[in-house]
Amino acid sequence: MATGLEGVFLQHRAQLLRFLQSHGAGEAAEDLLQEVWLRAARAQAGPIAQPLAYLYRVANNLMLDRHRSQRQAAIRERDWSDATGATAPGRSDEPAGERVLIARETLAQVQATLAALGPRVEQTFRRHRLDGVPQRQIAEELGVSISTVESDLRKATSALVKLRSTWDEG
Amino acid sequence: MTNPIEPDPMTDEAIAWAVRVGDPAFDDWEGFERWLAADPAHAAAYHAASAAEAEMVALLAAEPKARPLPDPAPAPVARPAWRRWTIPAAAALAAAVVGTVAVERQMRPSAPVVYETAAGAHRTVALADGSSAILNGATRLEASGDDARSLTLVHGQATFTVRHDEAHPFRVAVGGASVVDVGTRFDIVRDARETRIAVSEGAVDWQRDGNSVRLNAGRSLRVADGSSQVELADVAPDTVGGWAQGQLSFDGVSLAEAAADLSRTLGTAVAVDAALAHRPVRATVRLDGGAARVMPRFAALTGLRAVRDGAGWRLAASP
Repeated sequence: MATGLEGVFLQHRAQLLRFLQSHGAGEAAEDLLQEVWLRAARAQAGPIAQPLAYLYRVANNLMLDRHRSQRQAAIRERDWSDATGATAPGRSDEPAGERVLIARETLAQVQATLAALGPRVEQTFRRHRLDGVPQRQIAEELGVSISTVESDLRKATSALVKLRSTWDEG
Repeated sequence: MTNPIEPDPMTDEAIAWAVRVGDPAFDDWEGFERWLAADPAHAAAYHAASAAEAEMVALLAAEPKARPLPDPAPAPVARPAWRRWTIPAAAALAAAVVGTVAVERQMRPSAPVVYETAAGAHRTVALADGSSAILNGATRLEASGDDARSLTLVHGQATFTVRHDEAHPFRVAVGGASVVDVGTRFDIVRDARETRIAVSEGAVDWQRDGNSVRLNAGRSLRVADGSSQVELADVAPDTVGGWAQGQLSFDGVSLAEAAADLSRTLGTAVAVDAALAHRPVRATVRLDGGAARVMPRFAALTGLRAVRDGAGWRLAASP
C-alpha cells in the first residue's frame, strides 16, 4: 500500500537525505530524494516487507546510476576534446559501441581472472552476481559459512576491480 | 598506461561494503551511511569499485551461453564444462555446486560421477565400494570422482544400502548437511528447500555445522534449509524406501509433500488444491498400473478426488 510506504518515507526523510549526502549528493540531495520517492513508488508492486531497507536500496541504486552516467558523460567529453579520439560526431551517442569492443577483446581476460581464483570463488561470484542468488543460500549450497562466501566475493570483486583499473590507462 | 591503480586499503574497504550491500538481505544501512560520511573519498571509492565490478559482470553476462548438459558419464575435459554455465537451470547449477564442494573437500578437482533419472524412472546404481543406491525419478546423485563413498544428493530421492566401513564412513551431502552411515539402509528425499531422511536398518548421523543427530532404524528426520529446527519422528522401518519395492508410504506428511513424492515416482505432474496442501496424509499405496491406476487408488485411500489436469493430475476435495 502506497500510504504505508509513503509513511515510512516521510518518517525517515531526514535519515534518507543524510544517506544521499554521504553518498556525495551535495546540493542535489533534495532533488535526488524526490527521485528516490518517485522510483520507489513507481516500482512498488504489492506490500513491501521492509520498507525502510527498500527505500535505502532505491537510494543506493540511484546514486550508483548517477555516478555511472556522470562517468560516461566525462568519457564522452574527454573523447570529444581528444584530438585522436575515435568517437565520430554522429556516433557519440551509441552507448553499446565501446562496450561491445571491450567485450570482444577482454571477456577472456575477465574469465581468466576469475578462474585463477579457484573454482569455489568463481562459482560463488557467478552464483551471486549472475544468477542473483543470496549469499546465505550460496553458503548453504556449498556447505560453507557465510563469512567464507563474503570473503570469496571480496576476492573476486577485488581481482576484477584491479583488472578493470589496468584498462583505464588508455 | 603507466600507473595501474593498485587496490589500497580504502578500495578494499569499499569492496567489502560493495559485497555486503550487494546482498539482497543487507540491512545495515545506517552502518554503511556512517562509513560513507566518515570521509568524502569513501563514496567515491565505493562508486568506482561498484561501477568497475558492474561492468565486469555485464561482460560476463554477455558471454556465450551454456552448452547442453553433458552426458551423465563424465567425459574428460580440460576445463570443466560447468564453468561456462550461467543459465540457472537447476540441474546444471546443482552440478556446478557439487563439483565445487568436491574440489574443496579434496583439493583435487576430479570430475564427479553423475547419476540421473528422469521423472518416473528408477535406477539402481552399484557404487564402486560395494554399496548401492536406488534412485527414484527426477533425481540427481553425484559421486566424488576421487572417493566413491562421498556422495551428494542434489535433488530427488534415493535409498542407500551401505557396506559399512568404520575407518572410512559413507557420507552423503545434502542440503548443506552430511548424512554419515553407521551400517545402514536409509532413504533421503531432497526437495527444493527441505531434506527428509528415514532409516530402516542400522543408523546414520545427520551432521551440519558441527551439530550431529543420530537416527536409529525406525526414525526419520526432516529439516528445512536455513532452519535450526530439526523434526524427528518414528517411521515404520519396512516402509522406508518402499517406493523401490512398488509402494509408497505416507506417515503424516503434508498432502503437498505426498503429491511431490507421487509426482517423482510416477513421472507425472500432481497438483494439489491450495486449501488441502497442509492436510496430513497417512496411507500406503501400491504403485503398479501407472498413474492412471495409482492416482485414483491414492485418492480413495485419502478421501480425495483425483482428476485429470492437462497432462497431469490434481488432487481435490471430495464433493
